[in-house]
Amino acid sequence: METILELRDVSKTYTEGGSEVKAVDAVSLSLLKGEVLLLMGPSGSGKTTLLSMMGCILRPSSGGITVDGTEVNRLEEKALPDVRKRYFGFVFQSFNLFPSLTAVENIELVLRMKGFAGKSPRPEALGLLDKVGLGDRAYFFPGDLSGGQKQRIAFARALVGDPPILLADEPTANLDSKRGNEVLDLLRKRAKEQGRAVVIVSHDPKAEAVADRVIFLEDGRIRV
Amino acid sequence: MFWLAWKTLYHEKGRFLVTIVGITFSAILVLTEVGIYLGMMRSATDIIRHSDADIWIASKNIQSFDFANAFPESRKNRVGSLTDVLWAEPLVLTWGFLKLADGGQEQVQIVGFNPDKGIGGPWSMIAGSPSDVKGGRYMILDRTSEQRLGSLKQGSIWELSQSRFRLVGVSQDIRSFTTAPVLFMSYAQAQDLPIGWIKPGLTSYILAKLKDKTKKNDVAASLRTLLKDNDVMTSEEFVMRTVKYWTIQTGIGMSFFLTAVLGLIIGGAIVGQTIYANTVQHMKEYGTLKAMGAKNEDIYKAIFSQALINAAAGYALGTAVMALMRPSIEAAGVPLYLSPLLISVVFIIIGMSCIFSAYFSVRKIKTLDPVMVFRG
Repeated sequence: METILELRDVSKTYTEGGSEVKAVDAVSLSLLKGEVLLLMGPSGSGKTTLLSMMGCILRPSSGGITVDGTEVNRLEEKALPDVRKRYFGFVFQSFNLFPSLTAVENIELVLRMKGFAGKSPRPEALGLLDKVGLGDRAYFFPGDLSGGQKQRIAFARALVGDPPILLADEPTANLDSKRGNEVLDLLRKRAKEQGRAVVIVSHDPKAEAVADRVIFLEDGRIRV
Repeated sequence: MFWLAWKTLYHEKGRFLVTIVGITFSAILVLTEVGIYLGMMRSATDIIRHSDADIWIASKNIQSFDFANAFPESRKNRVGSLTDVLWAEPLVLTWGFLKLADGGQEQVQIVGFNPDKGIGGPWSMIAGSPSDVKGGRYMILDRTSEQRLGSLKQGSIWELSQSRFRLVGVSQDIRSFTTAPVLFMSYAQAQDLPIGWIKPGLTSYILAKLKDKTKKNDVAASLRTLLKDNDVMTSEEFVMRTVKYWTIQTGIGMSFFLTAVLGLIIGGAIVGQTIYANTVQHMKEYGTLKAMGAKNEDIYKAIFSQALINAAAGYALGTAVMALMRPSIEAAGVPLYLSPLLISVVFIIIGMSCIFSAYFSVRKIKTLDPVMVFRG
């Protein structure tokens, strides 16, 4: 399988109270197309920091990141949003849907933001909602939906523009077991049926069942 | 992003409504203050602007149209002798008391003009003609003074400073700055009034029309050399001097200005507070958009659109309320000037004030780190 994302000796150092703290310490890894990679580790182990750097939201203090052959380190700060827009989809623990927009509008928003070229983004957004089985909830506001439904809308939103990499941060944390499994299944299908790379950060042991590879982080380092 | 702005505002209907009411109030306040101020300034300079004269000659150090001192009318000949001058006409401006039917009296601004030429006389009549004041104790009053003087019947007899005058005509929309009714009569009658400083041989103003209007500055300069005891001004300069007097020297303009600014501040503060609250409430969502690749500018557009939607909706409502209130305000004798240009300019100012008030929200977005979306 072809590599879509590569991290080489990536470190991230923060200064806290005058002393330096290494949140991520010399991590190297490759993410392959069609692969589900699970990042696990205790709280404070650097999972979120690593995920932020993989998603080009956070710049590493040292080391290099390559996305589909592009050296991200060499890009200017203002070029990073375009990289994120083109290559990444995100699913968050607390969904982060606009409460003032209906399910379909939340997807439309990202379609518009990503420069949807068609006449109206509505049919495209409805199509994505259908894919996650929520076509009949298109005009509901997030406040009127269950946690599982919200997470599926967030998943549909992450599919906008068909990004090659999907990053999911604790996607099952706020869901019951059944809904959690449904979301994990969606992530697995994304990788296996559409050949996209999926990175999941999770404490949920059920996530291991859908992962091709599990990486444990401890004190910012990959535990061997 | 305009779409997102509208959806976000509409979803919070209560907050949106409160903001619109605030902007409506602000718009009414600003339009009323600016409209009345401009209306009063137009009243103060109406006769200058409608006189068709290019140059006004007045007593030395005159401050405004309303407060003229007398000087010899014979100077008219010196003005008229200049080759560039087409005509020169004297005009009397004085004050008197008109006795009312109930025994009371009302101060009036008296304008004495040459009825053969009509220069400086009423320009808009609803009954009679400006030339009707010729040959006797005849006068024209303005319809807007009916509220203070009572019914203005053509042919009725009035007592003005112990002399009886017949009302021969009624003009319309001619007001003085002081709101005192404007009374027109012939130049000769005005000189004959037994009221203070004006008497035959003296005038308040000499108005001059030039053959070539483009030479007015040169002619005014020549006249200044010729008439050292007078102030010589082009019509535009006299308008500006009068406006400056009422606006700055009396402080009236400043009070209107401060109230209008207060209206802007209130409107801006309400919009700023609403948008800031909206922005803080949606920080996580905006952070999510940034994480997904939205640029700061994309989100700024949404925030500024919110400010403009608020401004436009509130201002439209405010303008509609003003349009409904206008007849009542004018019926109360208050000159209110509202034009499409003024309404557009005030909208731009209110819009800019609302956009400026969105600055704090924009600053919040600028410093928003999209990493926050991963923090629980």
